Amino acid sequence: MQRVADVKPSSASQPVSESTFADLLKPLIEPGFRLALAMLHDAQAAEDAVQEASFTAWRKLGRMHDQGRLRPWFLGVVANKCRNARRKKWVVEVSVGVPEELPAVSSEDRTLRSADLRRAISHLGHDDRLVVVLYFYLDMPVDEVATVAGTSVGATRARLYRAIKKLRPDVAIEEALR
Amino acid sequence: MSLRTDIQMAFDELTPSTHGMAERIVGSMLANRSRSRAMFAWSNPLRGATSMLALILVLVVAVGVLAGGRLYRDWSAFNSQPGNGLAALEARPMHLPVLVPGQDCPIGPKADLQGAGNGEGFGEGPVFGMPIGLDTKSTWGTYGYQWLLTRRDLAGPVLVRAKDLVTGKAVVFVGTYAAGPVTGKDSDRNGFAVKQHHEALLDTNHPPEDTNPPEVYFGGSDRLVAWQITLGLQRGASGCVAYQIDGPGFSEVFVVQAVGTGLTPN
Repeated sequence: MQRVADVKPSSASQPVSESTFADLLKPLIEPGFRLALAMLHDAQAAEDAVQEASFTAWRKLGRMHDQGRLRPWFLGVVANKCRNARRKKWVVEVSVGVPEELPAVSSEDRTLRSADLRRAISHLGHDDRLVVVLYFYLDMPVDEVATVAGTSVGATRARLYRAIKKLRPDVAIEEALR
Repeated sequence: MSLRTDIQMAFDELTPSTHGMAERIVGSMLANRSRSRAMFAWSNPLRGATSMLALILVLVVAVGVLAGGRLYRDWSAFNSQPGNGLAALEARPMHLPVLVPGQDCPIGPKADLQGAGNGEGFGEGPVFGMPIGLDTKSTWGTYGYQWLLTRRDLAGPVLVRAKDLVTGKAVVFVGTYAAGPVTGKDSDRNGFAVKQHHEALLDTNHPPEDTNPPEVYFGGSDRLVAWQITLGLQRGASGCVAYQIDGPGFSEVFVVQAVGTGLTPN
């Protein structure tokens, strides 16, 4: 599967026209969906969040003058949509029941461990969950994670360390960051 | 197996096929835009009525602002009475230590936070500080963050003021917890303009949601609330920072040393 870090912007510092925006957006839909799914644990809600983020991105097209920033900017919009979606009662009711009964892709142990890990991540606060998903699941570098999260690199790193300690209190930070 | 691999495996298991999703979403977006244009053409004759409604709304807002201003003046008058709220805390004199030339940074007093963070904490309570982490340089100076921990039973406003003990210049606060008058501006902190303040304010009635409770990162304690404050040290600062923290019934001072990417020299 393509990781978000592999999706490269075409060129930087050029105005984006409407006609090319759809082409620029297409490669970001999948990472956006994976981010939303990891944040919301609900495929339909995740697709809705990406759809809404796409509309928002489209409306704010005029403000985007740097294609190099499109990816973190778009993922930031998706993250905001996810935050709003989690606040809606119906999403809570529908998605708190994370689909733990997944088809066994290998051993039962592995499936259970994955379910435990997803549950632990879903219990993190929004901002902690966001940096974990972006850094570990989407393979984004810390500086780009900071851009998406709208914080400094240092604050992002501190948040990441804190989240790791919550997820794996018995593992050294350096080991967990690999 | 690494945490990264575990997380990727855990979520990949959950991810359905995304085949055709990009085309579906982008197509839907384009179609919706066409509908929006059609709707705009249909609603064009209604623009006169809409303008009138907007004018009425503007008048309502103006009346609201006038009434709100009166309420604000009443609140300010109440707040400025001796002993009440933030104004009383701001009126307290600063009593920070003074360095003599050549003296080392008088870091301390050390706090026993039962293993909080890396085990290093400062202050006698009810507010404790961790070392300052610096991470962003600008032409004005250097920015970083400071974790402050407050006892969970602490109530009322908590005023935070700080100085670099070597240069004597006030530490500035930006972002969420910055308070008081704007004392300066920096046009390029990470590419963004920021307003600087000489005070930070912790509203203990509304603790930060995502660090509450700080049960893991801060030493397994359920007694503390963690606040991440963004601060700036002006070019030439030593990083030896003294805090004075005032709240209802207490005033405490502690000194910390900034660590991180280094300070911007003169």
